[in-house]
Amino acid sequence: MGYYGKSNAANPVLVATTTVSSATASVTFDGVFKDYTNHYKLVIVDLTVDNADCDVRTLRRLNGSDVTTEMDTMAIANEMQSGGASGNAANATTAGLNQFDRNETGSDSTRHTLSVISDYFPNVANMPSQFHQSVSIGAGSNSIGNNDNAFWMERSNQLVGSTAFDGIRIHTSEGNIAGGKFYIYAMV
Amino acid sequence: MATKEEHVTQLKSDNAELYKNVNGTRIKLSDSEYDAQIDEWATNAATQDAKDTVIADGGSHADYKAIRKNAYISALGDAYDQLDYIYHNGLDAWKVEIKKVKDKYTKP
Repeated sequence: MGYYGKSNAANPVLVATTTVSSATASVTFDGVFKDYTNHYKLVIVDLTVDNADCDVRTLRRLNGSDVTTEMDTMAIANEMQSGGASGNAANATTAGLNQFDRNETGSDSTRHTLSVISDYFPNVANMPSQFHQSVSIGAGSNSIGNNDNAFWMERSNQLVGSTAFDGIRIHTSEGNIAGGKFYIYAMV
Repeated sequence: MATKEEHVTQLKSDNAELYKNVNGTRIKLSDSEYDAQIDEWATNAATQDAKDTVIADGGSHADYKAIRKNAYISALGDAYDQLDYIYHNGLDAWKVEIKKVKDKYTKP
């Protein structure tokens, strides 16, 4: 375990973690992003949802409340098998949501369930008010279309304006989170 | 296609109570939080139902660009496949296929 203070000396430090094994509408980490770390990583392993036909979403939090100020966003997604559907999402502004696609929330006997990595890059010099640049990658089993296919989505978000945040809330567009392991690391 | 109200009824039937996990602690939602969560889920479900109906049957939708793009790929393949289609079948034949998609999914 590395030192976590003014600097963690480039050693990833586990800041917060929780494991969900009973249905919960959301998983929230409040007060985890501090103003002296340049890179945080949210890792979600084997996320399962009650309703496979849903998007998995994250919202920023500040002092225990959701933050919904706009971000610029762009994404690309693809079925992984040869000849599978692919495409770019339209570039857009979003009301604070980061999103993983409903295509990747399925599960079957051989494919992995959805796992997610989100990297957050604060601009420490401008924190806390100008804090959000993120790159998120999720991969899982197709929940719609061909259930045997694997699906991935990569999305980037960039803050519009100046809004502070210190936490994150993970939830779905419809239904409970059934299970999963959630970790937040302070990276460098 | 279920209405938002029908989704609310179903979601309440499926979830007599709801919980949140905050910093590792599982907490039962208050009545107001429960109602807000059910409303959010029902709104999202009804919105997705409407989009799925347009994707299946055609029609006007705010996401028509993304819907068309997926339909182009389903009909003709990705951009490289479409270039190959033009090489083999000509530009006019390609335009016929593209127009089918444009006519099916329209701008609001």
